Amino acid sequence: MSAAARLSLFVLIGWAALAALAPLLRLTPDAISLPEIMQPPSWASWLGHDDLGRPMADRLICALRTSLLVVGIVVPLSAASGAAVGVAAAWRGGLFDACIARLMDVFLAFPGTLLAIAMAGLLGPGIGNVVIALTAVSWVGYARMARAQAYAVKTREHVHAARVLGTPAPAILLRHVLPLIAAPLLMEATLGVAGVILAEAGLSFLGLGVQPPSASLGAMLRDGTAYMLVAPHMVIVPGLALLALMLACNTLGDALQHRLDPRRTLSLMPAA
Amino acid sequence: MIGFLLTRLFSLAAVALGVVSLVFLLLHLVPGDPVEVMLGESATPADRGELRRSLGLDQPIAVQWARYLGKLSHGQLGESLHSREPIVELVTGRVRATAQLGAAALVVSIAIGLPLGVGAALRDGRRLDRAALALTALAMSIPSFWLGPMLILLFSITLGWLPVSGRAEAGAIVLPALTLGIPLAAALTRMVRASMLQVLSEDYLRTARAKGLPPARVTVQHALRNAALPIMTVLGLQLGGVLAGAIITETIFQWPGLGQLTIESIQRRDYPVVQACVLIISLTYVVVNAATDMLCGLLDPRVRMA
Repeated sequence: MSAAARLSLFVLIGWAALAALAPLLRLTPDAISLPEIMQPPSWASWLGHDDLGRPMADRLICALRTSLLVVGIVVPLSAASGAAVGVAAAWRGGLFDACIARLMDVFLAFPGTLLAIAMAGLLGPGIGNVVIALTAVSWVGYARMARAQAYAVKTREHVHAARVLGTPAPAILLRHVLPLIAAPLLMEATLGVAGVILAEAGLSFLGLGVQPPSASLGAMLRDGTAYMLVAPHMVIVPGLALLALMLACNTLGDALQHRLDPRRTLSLMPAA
Repeated sequence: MIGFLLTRLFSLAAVALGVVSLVFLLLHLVPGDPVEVMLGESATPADRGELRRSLGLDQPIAVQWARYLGKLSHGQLGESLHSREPIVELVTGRVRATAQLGAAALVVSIAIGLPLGVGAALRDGRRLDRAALALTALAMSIPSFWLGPMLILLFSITLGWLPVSGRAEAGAIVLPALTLGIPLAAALTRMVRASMLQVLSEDYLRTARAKGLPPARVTVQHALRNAALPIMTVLGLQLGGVLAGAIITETIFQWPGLGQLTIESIQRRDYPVVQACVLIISLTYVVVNAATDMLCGLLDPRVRMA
């Protein structure tokens, strides 16, 4: 593993640990303190204070917790639902598969961000609706991949054998198909993490995500841009945190992709 | 050839119909009674009834869908609940502003991405290549809603070179175009580099060099032309990125385009306008992607076979 990939892993583990342990840290993200309004970073408060005098460090940790929470729900949920739809379509084939394929075409025809913004906007703000909107947009990537992979695995001999032996379809899918398509799906999910972090922050930046006083990287950035002239730390701090997360996710995703060379995975497939 | 184009046109029509239907269904996502959400609690029952009738919400959903398609086929998008203007008039100027910004962003993307990608591929593994890869990794990770404010902080506030926002002043387009174009330039650089590297190792390039052609001619005429196909596909896909990214960029810079109108309309609960904006943006995306696909097929017979 390269030094950059190791650093990225360290950043992501640090993010997860900080977010998970946040309740134990006795943070005061909502403590308004008028004398400290827009105080720049100092030794006493190492990331400074925001426009209501709330400590930026505490808010940042809570914001990281928000993005971890959203990633932790959206990525598994969309991967599982997408994989289920994709595998079912490939297994059943025929009209059902054709309908699913057209549905996927329609979802893929939208720029993802646009659909997420429109859905979150119409559903109304709040973290629950962010999760719904992002899942509704991301399932299709997993479904497409699972469908293509399942098509290739479906015709393999061990699956034929299981069928001939009378194994029920759910058991075949679960025990003989899913394990073979899990690696590319996991890869896709790893790459999806960065997208979900960014999308959550983007929706909150537009005011469509997490609502105040809850902290989110996007909402912190939006507040920060309003006071950019007088308190640049308010926009620099959450921005750097988001940039570090995105860089770490992308670097690690690249490294993983390099390791799981798609050509090697393809060579496992039988010639069609 | 004609068969290829017809198949693609048919699938374009099918996808477009699907997109229209999904956009139609979006209005039904509004929790509770959309009419009540749009008008607020103070509206009289008569007002609500009138809006429900004018939006056709008192009809069964299949009838609503058929009417929506019928109106669209006549170029009608309905009227804004906020300003009572026909939506078509409302969006015309906005479309122009977004098209202008999108074109400027694509220019930024190509002006940076093409030379940098070609340069990196020619210097594979050396300092320029590694610098290009590091820069693109950084640029692809920067969220536009942070890049924009940082550019404002540097070029407008600290240096005072460019206006902060709006569209009226000269040079106002530079910062939004950079914000939108820089991440695209990074993606394009990577794609140009990858497809150039693939082509550079081909036999016909060795032949071209061996027969003594000047390096610039080998690069442009022999390598770049053959590497053009994946690059074009990426450019086509980038337009989708431009259109979706414009929503955030236009909000940061108060650029009066379709993206800003979308967000304003969401905030005003002017849902018919939201619906219209989403429809215009996604249909543009669908048509551009299909056009790129067909163009690739025209240029390369191998694509037609696939």
